[in-house]
Amino acid sequence: MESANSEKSRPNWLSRALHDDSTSLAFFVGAAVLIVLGVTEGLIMVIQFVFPDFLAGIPWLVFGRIRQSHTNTVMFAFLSMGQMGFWYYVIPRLTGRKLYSEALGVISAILWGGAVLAGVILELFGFSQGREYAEMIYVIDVAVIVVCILNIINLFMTISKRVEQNLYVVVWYIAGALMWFPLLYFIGNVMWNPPSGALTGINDAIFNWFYGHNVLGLWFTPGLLAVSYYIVPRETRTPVYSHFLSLIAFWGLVIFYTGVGGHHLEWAPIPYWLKTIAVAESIGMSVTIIAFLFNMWMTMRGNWNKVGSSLPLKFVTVSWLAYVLVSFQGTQEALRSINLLTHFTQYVTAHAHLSLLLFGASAVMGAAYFCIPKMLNIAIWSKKLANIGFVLYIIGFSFFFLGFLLVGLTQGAAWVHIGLPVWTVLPGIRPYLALRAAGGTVLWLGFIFFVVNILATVIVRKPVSVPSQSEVKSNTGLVPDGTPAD
Amino acid sequence: MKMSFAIIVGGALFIFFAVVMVVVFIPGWVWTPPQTIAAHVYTDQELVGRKLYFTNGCDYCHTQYVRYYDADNTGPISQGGNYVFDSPVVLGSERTGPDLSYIGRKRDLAWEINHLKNPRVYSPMSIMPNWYFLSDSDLAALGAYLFALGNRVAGEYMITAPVDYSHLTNPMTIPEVTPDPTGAPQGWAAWTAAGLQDGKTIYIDRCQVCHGCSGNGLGVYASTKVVTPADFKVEPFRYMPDDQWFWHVSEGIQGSVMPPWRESLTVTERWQVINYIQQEFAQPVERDPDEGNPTGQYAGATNPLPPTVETEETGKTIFIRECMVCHGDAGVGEGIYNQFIRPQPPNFSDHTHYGTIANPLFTDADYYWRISEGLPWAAMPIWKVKYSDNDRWTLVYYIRVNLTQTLPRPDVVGAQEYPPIYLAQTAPVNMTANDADVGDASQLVYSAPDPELGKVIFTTFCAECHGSDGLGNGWNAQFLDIKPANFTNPDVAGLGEGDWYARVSLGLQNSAMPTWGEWLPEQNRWDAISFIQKFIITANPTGTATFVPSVYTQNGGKVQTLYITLSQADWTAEGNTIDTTNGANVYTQYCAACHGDKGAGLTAATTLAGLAYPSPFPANMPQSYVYQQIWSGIPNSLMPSFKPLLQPSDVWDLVVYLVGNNTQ
Repeated sequence: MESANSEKSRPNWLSRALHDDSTSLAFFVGAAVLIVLGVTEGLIMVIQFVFPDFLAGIPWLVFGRIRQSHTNTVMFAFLSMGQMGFWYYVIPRLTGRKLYSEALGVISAILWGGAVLAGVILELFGFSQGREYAEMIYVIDVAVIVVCILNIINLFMTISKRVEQNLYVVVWYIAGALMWFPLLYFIGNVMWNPPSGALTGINDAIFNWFYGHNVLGLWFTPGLLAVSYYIVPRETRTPVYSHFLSLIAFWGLVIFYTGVGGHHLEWAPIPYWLKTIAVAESIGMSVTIIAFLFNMWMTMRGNWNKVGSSLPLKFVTVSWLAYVLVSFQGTQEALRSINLLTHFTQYVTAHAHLSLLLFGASAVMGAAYFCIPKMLNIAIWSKKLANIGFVLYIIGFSFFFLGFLLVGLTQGAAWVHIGLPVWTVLPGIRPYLALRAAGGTVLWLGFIFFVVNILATVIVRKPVSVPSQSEVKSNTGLVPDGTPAD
Repeated sequence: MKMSFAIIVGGALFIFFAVVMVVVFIPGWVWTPPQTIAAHVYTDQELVGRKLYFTNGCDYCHTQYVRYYDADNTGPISQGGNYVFDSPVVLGSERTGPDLSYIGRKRDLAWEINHLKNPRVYSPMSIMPNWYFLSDSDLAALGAYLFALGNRVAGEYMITAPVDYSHLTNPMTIPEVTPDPTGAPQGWAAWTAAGLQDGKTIYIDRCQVCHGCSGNGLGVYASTKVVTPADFKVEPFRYMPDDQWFWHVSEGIQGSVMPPWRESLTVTERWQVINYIQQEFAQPVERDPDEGNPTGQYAGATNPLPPTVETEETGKTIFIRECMVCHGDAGVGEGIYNQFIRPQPPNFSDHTHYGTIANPLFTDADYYWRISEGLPWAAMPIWKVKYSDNDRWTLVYYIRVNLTQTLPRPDVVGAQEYPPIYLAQTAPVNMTANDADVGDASQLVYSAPDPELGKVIFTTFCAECHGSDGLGNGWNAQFLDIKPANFTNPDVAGLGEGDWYARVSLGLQNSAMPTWGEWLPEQNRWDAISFIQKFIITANPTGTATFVPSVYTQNGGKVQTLYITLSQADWTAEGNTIDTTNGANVYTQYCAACHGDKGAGLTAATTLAGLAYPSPFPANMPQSYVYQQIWSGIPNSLMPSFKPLLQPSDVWDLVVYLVGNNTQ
């Protein structure tokens, strides 16, 4: 069912609904709508940490349930849909072919968005498998796998029919993520064991954390690094510095990330050699990071001034810098002596937010601000709003993250160095929890600005005002003229 | 490297599966730890509770695995076999609340459920959500799950010593000693041979400021701490295993100021001090107390200090600070902590033992040696550890002048001078924290004196000498050569607040009147003064005595429910005996001054001017009523609660002495 052939047989309304990039747009809009749920849940939780009676007595707003819904919403509704939106935008442009099937793509977007939304809402009403990041119930898991297969069909068919024969590094990452994630999801969710989706006994934790870490390592990291590898060269009009470094970073990713799940269980009763592998692989991750950092840094050489004028580049630069930071932080936390202090504390949660928020959400926002205007040949509804949103986002995150760090360090030091029982530390961390709530509120506002702006851009469709020649060229041509060749 | 599509797909999948095989599937196959006692087959209700546990996200704040260094000591380090029945495994990734691995049976089931409903009722600092919206059956299921979690039985509540310390036993042995039939002193030899003198030296040096020399956790520093020091006389310390002792002494107590002594004491020293505590406080065994005679540097030592009031006063300050708690302020061995130690302190007023000025039976050296080195098989501290030679000599001088009265009193030159700031004090007024924050208050305490609390202080500390009625005829007054003050004496009654404060705080020179500032908090001193002023000396000293009608008649003999079930039969059924002779002695000691001969009461003629005198006892008072009045006192009157001074057995003796078997 190649789209060009089937166009004539479509009903009229479908032709109007389906056009080039409608899959990408559907994923992006889905991400933008659903993040409101994700960040609002986060906001409620930071407030509940300071005022535990906030919204007390409402079953579906109790902390334990929001916590699951929040992580799943942010990861599977927002980041996943955002990165898939980007893939569906970029794969046709890097292969020189239209998407294999926009209809299939839109179905994927609706199925994914609907399933995940149902999953996270059900979590609020107490339907959960209780395994971190794998909480969504079995039916939803099946839907996720189905969409993953649809994605593989749609994008791999597009790649296989490509005009541009060289596969750019972005395609490597996307292809990797497309294959790894369904395998990872199936194994990690123990999907051969419905409906609990769990093993019995301690090995369940090994499977859980293999999955828990690699949702980040083999799904978001490749999926969202693709954003940096695409938008940084595009917005700076500079080819990526080194093919060789890209190779190291890519293969290093799958070699090192796949085995680090055990560092979540460094003091749990799992085989000691498995923990050692996890520590070694976590240290090995720095090879990947250094290669990536060097590659990006050299690409950005002489181009830093462009960060100020390009909205997508602002977000994406924050994203890849955050990726470097969070990866080094992760390597450190995996060392046994440091893990001893940080494990179980909010320091780990801080780390997770540096990763999924400052690395992940920044990439998705940068991608949305980059792709949506280009695919619709329109202007962003309000560039001013977007810039204010960026400032709120950065300021909000800074205080949010600082509060997180202080809470975590206080907990770790108090438990391990001073030997205090867990509950006695709670009054001591309350000021930092309040700082976190304050930062989180500003952060929430930054996201709302983003959502409003994206939705207004799509609905209002403000025409591009006085486009320069180069902008016309890059907005209309399917073959990306500025794409650097490797 | 040319990245063809085949290489990407093939390579990515190959590497992925290779690593997954090593880190997921192989451990999944080979890792089969054996089941431990902590795992148990869940009941249907517990499974419902377990599902509620993870669907409601309890595991996002509560972990279920204990690492080897976990400070909250929830239980043994988690083993893989703890989880054999768990699906899914809910280890948890954050620890905002405590680890729950072994929470089961630590509290009762009702507590678990009620705490779930509203945690802050039970743990005010908690930030856990309220779960009262769950149905009763859900709460019961969740409670049942938690109550069984860890599969503990009652005896496993106690925190066990960590692996490094478990099963250690005290290598010190205490030799058996029996009194030598020939009377040769052997206490010292066995005592030092067992290392107990070394242990006591360490105890006095390191432990005594908090745990007190009688081991009851009431050292002078103790009251400044929120977490109070251990009282070795009570459980769990009395029978605490050696490994627990050694662990706590070595590592300190988390959440308290108890230091980790392994930093500064060797293994042997730690065992020595533990040995001393066990022998002297926790599980004391009375042994031959014969301490012998001073030897070495102590033999024939004489007091180098001049026999002056200054020497005496310095000695008194130290005596009140350190010695009074056991020896008592009058030195008859009636200190408030004397019940904690065996053997009990001696009676310094016993002239047959200590002699007289003309014929002292102990020399300076005898006193000085005992104070310096302590006594074997007794809690008497080794004061050379804490106080200089001169300080100890001042104690010798004070004790010999005032308590054993075997030295002549020094010459007093001039009246006692009190610091002007003491004399300028006035009774404190109620002050809020905001008032205090202004920073210009003249007082450092925050409450106006409470005469009722003052009555308790007075009864506990003052009445022994000054008498319950403040007339200076308390029981211990007979042992003192400088007699206690009669508060109705116009010279005393006319003193201003500052004068009172100075005298109570700094004592009266060349007498046994203690320097209460060394012992009683400022607020308590003011309380006691207010009681004395309100109930003893504010009466018109020149007026006639007033009659107090019988309280029993007035209130119809009502007895509080707390006392109404008291029964002599129950008391004796518990193995106690009634000793009316003791009852008579107690009556003479504490009651007769006001109530006259066996409750006959005083008359206006026999009562000092200005005082109130109580009516004679009614004939028909039941035992429970009498017991209540003695034990709780009568508010807003001179009649104190005798709780601080009398044991229940004394009260029963007194009750039966007074009203016989009148149970009504």
